[in-house]
Amino acid sequence: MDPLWPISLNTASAVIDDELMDGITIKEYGNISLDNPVFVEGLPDVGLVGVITTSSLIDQLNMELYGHIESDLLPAIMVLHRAELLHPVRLYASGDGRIVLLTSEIALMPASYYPLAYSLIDWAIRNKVSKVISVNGYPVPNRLDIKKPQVFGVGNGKDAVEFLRKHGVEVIEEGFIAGFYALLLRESKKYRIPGLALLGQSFPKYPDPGSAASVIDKLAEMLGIDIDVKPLLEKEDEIKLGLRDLMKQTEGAMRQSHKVIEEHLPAMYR
Amino acid sequence: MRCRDMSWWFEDREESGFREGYIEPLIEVRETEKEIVVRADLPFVKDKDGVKVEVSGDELEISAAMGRAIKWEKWGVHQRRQSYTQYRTRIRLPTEVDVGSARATFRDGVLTVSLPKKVTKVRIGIE
Repeated sequence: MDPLWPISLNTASAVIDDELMDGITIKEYGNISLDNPVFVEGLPDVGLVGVITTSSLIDQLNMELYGHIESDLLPAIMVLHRAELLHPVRLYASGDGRIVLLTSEIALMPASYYPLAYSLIDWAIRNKVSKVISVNGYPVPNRLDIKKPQVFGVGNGKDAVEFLRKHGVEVIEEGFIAGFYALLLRESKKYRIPGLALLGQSFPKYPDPGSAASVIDKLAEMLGIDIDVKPLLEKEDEIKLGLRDLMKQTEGAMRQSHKVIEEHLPAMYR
Repeated sequence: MRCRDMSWWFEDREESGFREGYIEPLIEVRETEKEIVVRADLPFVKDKDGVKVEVSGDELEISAAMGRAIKWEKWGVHQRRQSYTQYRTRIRLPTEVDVGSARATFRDGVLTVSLPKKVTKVRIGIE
């Protein structure tokens, strides 16, 4: 079995940008000029839907390694792919500079969520990001009975909600959301960057390529790109087994970030 | 920003679950008032014939044969050229269960074991 992440070995070695904010450094290699990009966040969370989705995008759009995240808040871990030493939390960009995504091969500690969200939104403002989209799983206990997982949406404002509805996404109107994507929505709203989350019905504690396929379909429609989810579904077993250790790590992070509250009913106070 | 406590990150994670010749599957345990439901994700297991489930008191043991040998040829020092053909795990259940009423199903690579709790609570009539 090969690792899930496709790696471009032709990576620029010179780091041109080195911004330190709240203990987080976003290192950019300067190999691609960004053009009002859409920023897609796919960090490990429920069903590893974000990780599987971003990995498919990197593969199918031939996205290039664009940068990485450095921080004392990340564990002292590096990753090897084809003998190349890489940071586990990385940015990839499409050749036309229209899409940048964030993915990770390790679970992130909740202590890193706030500074990372602040840094990313600061980076998004400086790079004129047009939209922030989180891709994630939405835990459902009856996932086994669902053949084609539905994708739900959360928007950080009226325009984002309208955008979701225009693309046929059922918008979550009441409830709690928790984890990194909740924070990213909050921060993007604060700085008036349109932000939304696509949440595929997912197994809570298993990697879920089927859920990722549904999210990819919807994301591709929104971005006007072609992504074939068939290879993803054909490799379903391989992906699930390959990601089992990351899923175990992520369970620990989810426990710490109060994910269980997503199943709670919010108080009626209006 | 330095010297953050990262101990939680490594809790329960030093063991990867990839052991000599077998893999521990991902397990989800849900407890309701009347039963305990254990789900195991078993990729590469094609049908129920290769799956064995044993329960005794408060312990559940699951083993399952994969349809093929899974090899990691290039992945890490420990797992290099390691081949896996089966899943195996033993779980301590949160309470004793009624072994005779346990049921199991296997669908789409997921094993579901439903274990009714042993009735230990009886209503006492007031004289």
